[in-house]
Amino acid sequence: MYSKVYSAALLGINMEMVAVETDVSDGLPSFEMVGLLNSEVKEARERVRSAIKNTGYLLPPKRITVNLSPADIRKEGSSFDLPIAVSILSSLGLIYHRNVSDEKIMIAGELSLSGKILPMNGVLPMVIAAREKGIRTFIVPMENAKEGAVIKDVNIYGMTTLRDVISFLNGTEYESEPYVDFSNMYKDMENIDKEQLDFADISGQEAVKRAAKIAVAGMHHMLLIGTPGSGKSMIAKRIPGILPKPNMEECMEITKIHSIAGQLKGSNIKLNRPFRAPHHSVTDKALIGGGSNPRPGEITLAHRGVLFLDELAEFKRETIDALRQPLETGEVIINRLNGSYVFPAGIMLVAATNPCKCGYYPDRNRCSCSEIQVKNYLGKISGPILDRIDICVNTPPVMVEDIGKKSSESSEDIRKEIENVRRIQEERFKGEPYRFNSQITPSKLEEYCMLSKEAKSIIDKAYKSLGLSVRVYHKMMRVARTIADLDGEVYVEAKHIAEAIGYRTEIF
Amino acid sequence: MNYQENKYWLWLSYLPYMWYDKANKYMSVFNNPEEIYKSDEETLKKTGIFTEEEIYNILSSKKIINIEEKWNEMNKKGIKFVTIHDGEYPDRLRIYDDKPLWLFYKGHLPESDEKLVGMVGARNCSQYGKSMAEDIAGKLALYSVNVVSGMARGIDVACHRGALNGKGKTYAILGCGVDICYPRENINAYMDIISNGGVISEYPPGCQPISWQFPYRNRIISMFSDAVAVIEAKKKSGTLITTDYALKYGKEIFAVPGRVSDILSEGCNELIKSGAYILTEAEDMLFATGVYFDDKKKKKRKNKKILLEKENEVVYSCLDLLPQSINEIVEKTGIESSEVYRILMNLVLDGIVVEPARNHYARKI
Repeated sequence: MYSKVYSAALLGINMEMVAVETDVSDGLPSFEMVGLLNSEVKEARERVRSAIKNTGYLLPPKRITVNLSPADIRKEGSSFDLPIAVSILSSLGLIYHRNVSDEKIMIAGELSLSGKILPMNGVLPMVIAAREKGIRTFIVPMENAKEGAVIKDVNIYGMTTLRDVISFLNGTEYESEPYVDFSNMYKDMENIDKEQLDFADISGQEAVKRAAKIAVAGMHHMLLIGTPGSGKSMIAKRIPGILPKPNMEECMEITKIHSIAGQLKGSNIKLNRPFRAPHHSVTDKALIGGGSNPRPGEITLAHRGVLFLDELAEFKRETIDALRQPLETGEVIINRLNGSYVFPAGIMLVAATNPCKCGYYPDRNRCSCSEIQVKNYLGKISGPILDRIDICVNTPPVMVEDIGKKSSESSEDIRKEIENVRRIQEERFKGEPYRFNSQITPSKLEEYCMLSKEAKSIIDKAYKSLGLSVRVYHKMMRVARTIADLDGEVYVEAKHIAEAIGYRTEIF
Repeated sequence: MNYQENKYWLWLSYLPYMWYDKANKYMSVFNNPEEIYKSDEETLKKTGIFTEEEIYNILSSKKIINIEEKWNEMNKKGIKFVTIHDGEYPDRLRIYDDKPLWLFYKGHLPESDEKLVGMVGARNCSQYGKSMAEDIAGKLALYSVNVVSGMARGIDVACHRGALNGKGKTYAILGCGVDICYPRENINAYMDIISNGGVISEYPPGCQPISWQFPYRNRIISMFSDAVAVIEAKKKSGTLITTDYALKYGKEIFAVPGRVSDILSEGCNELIKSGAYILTEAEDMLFATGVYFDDKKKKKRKNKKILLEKENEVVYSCLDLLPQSINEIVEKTGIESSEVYRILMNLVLDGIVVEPARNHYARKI
């Protein structure tokens, strides 16, 4: 007998429908599985056999063939256990076939040998993709039911054992997971916010806080140079809190990515911007994404949030260089034989480094690095990545008087100011393909960054005497534009451009 | 620069481990290197001053070292060679027992009546030391006092730079062959020194910078100088070797004072404690070089006070020779940070303030 149920396979961050077909026929007893399966999917055979047995059914000594189609997509992950089990049981006549085969129900989940259903990754993108194809009913592990329930007009059934699934499919009534109104949760976000880290906790460091504000306002990537313990990481960790609140689509995007990576950890939806801080020993595949069946890397997990690279000089050069293209385009493209995968990578990069090996330059009482050592240390940061960083600022050691002093500006205040600047930018770039000051193309710089006479003379003088490149010149114009926006000025004044020059990334 | 006269000297300089005291020892027995070159093993042994290894080196070097080739190569590189028998050999060195018996140089040697000051200091120096070194060396040039130093990183090269900027002459005594620029990043200074003074060494061309050679190079710096100034030095510093030699040769020693808490000034403060002159401006050193002190010149330069607009003055007055972070400056002046950036940037572009490290600013003297 033949049966067919539907499940889904992960392709990058998208889901593809997969039909799980089973045929039980006479012949030598066997259990074959075909359809370009990864080893964890092949192992499903043993789990399914035991789960069915322990649920109280007997697999007859017949020739069982399972096919996962389309056969040219590589199937990965453990979420095929449940659909395979259901498909077999259905072809044996233990489940009403018409209840599962008419493209109206999707099944996914991992089985344990006892017949218990275990949680899986990627429920949210699966539900989103299948809903577009007209599927309205989903059987998923209990732990993942909440995650899927944020989608409107679908019935999500969270199941704990294979036995539940069988009786459900045979007509027993079950309660579907109640719809979680996402927009209500979104409105409740104020409460969540209060638990976040606040800029007001940072003593002193006013100049750095201002630089962070400017960087976030114009979405400029940022580099912090400073002595150990001066608060580089503290500041970086607070940057997601001053980014404008994510809107609903952004929350959905963030949640989708985290769902695939298995990073949701209990919560059903992500309402905060992510903050990712990979250790400097990270490989380029872990950072960018990759693998034979590509999986998202740290940069994709930081999408719509902050990627923080602490000890930038200690990262492998190739790893950092791999960031170049994603930083430019806002997405990672990974090409494989069976197609190319696009992962979103719209991040704000925040990097931090010590000024030298010992970390105390230019305090000569503590630093005994020679000038050449200092240069070599910072020279390890590759030029192309510095080119993409607009703002570079020093975090000096905190002065004794400042310790314990509360800052006047809280994250809330800063964010309000930033949201203002974002609105100005939205207005300005209405007809453009980009949204932020940091993305203004050189040809449009003249139009958007109108310099006052004094400002022009300062930047020209600096260009000559500091030996800057045209690229740096443009970067300064963009940063100055953001600073002027913060002041609410239409023209870029001398003090704006001077401050932008102070943030230049040409370290030495 | 006569090949026939100098070839045996050149040969001697190329012998392995030819320390100056070894050369002096050889010369106490032989009248000139030619005699050593032409002696056979028996004669060398009879003198009793050579070790087995030295005799082996002397004998084998005749085959290994092609003197003519070395001589031609030297000429090609524009390197000149003097020995104590030459008239061009600096007279000021002749009086010392441990003088180098020969010198290689590029550029030219100091005249016998030239006023010279040796300036030395730490390699890993502070911005304060660097500014002081550049300033003092530059001001000395006003009085036609030239600077001798070692072209090392940090203070040394700042002294050379200062002298060159002040349109004075400057001489670098190297611890390696004069055809080698060590450290490499000083290549611009090296080229400028050759055209406005000279680089001098007792080590033959091609001789690599090896650490034991540098203390001996310090002795030559002291020998050339009429007075020795230490700009910045830690408590245990190679710089103090130079001052030891200077004491031995009876030169005046000057030290730039620093804060008690600064490690890089400990050596200088220690020197002052034990009787060195305090050096706060170039004029302090003039008496030791025998230059007539022209008060008018000093006054003229003092009058060049920097006139600034009011707000610029506020920021400028907060700065000193130690680099301060923008945070500190903002706190001290009470001016808004973007305004402080504007003022500082103007001051940097005017050349009266420097930014030695990111967002740290210091005065330039």
